[in-house]
Amino acid sequence: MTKSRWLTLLFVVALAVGLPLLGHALNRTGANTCALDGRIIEPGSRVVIRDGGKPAHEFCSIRCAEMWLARAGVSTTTVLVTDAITGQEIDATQAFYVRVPVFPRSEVHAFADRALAEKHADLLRGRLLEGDEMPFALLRQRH
Amino acid sequence: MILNAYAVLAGFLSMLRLLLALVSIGVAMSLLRKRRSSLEREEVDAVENRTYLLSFLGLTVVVIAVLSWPLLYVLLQSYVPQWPGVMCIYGVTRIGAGSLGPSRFLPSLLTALQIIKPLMVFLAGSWLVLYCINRSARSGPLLGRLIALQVVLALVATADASLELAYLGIPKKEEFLSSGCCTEAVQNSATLEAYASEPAAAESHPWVRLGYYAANGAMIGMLYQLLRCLPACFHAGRRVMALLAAGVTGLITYQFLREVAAPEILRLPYHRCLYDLLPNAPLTVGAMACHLLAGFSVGWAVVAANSGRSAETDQAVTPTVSRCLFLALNGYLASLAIVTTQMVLAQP
Repeated sequence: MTKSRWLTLLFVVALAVGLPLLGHALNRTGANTCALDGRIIEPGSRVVIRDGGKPAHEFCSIRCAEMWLARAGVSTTTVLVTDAITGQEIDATQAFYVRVPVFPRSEVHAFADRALAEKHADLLRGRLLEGDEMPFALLRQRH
Repeated sequence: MILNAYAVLAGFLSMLRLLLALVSIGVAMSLLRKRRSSLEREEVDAVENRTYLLSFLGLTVVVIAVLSWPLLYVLLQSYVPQWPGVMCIYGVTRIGAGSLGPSRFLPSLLTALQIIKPLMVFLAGSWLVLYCINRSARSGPLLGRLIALQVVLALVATADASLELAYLGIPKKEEFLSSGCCTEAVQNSATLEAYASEPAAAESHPWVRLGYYAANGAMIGMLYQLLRCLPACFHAGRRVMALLAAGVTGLITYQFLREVAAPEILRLPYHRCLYDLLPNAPLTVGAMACHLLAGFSVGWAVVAANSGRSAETDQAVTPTVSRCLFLALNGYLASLAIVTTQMVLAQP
């Protein structure tokens, strides 16, 4: 191979390594994304899973957190859901859940207060989840 | 029909491609007829003029064919916000599945488009390689092969443009969404159990990572050796071997990108979806393009070595083969470097 070809190869490799590095340096937006499907997390539906001293995992919905938990199979976890009214983090095992229809599917909203959850269910024609229907069933059994 | 800027552009390019491809076929056929019969001076001039026209048409079809490939994915990405449950292009590809209306053809049309576009780009590149070799000779000894290849390219371009126009024209708005990994349709506990049994990308297929680096490393080594000993070593056996190696490397790379690289780069350990790379890690899509270009370049080198030979063009074949193989070497190296750097940067 000629000298010019070696230089071309060197340039291509430098570009191929340099562009991702440059992109990484410029792309520090800090927007939190779901650890399961990568979607941007809305503050009102954020779920956090903490597993001991490890970094917390954040999710865009209760459904994503459930699926992640089912796959990861971690044992010493604390799951925090966001109260749909106050926006405060609450323990997932202590929360009340309402399934509301959001076309074309349904969503589960979490509440710290049962009365507010029932009112929310009435307003949005949803349903307060009870027993096995409630999310994080395994976590609840452990508690 | 969903109308946005990309749909209008894709529709315009499809119509232009269809028109030019049909005109190409007509001109090529008349040229083939005249070449056999013409002896008089005026007719020789007419044949020459039509050859120029055909070359111009060929070059235009090549450019439009190449442009239409990435445009299809940009178009599909622009459709993502149209349906509330669709999260990426995969969801768009499932629109219409199981439907009873005309939109039931949409998934098959997209599958066909995703197969025909690479084929069209490969044919366009092959035509361009032969065209460049032919231009180096005075009497155009490869004209017959060029015309034949251009007719094949025009037929494929016609099919591609028709499929794309059909896809654009079929109504999609009123159709319901079928389920898939990117469509949020996972609702029942049975599906949850199925999800739970799937291992994370890093745990599955440990041989894929090894295979990817081994195959690409071997490909780079082989191309380097071929470039060093051209033209003697690029005989028929080596050409077949190079084509097979490019094909196998392509398959292993696809598997690696889907199973290992995409989940790691996207930081989504359970999400094996290459479509998500387009909006979230476009440089990895660039790496895929480099890899495809490299694979195609090996094919174009074989086309040049097989179909570019004649008494007048022998001198031009070796430099063209060398350029194609060098392009392939660059493509494999660039792809490997981008993917590896992205994966290193994605580590926590």
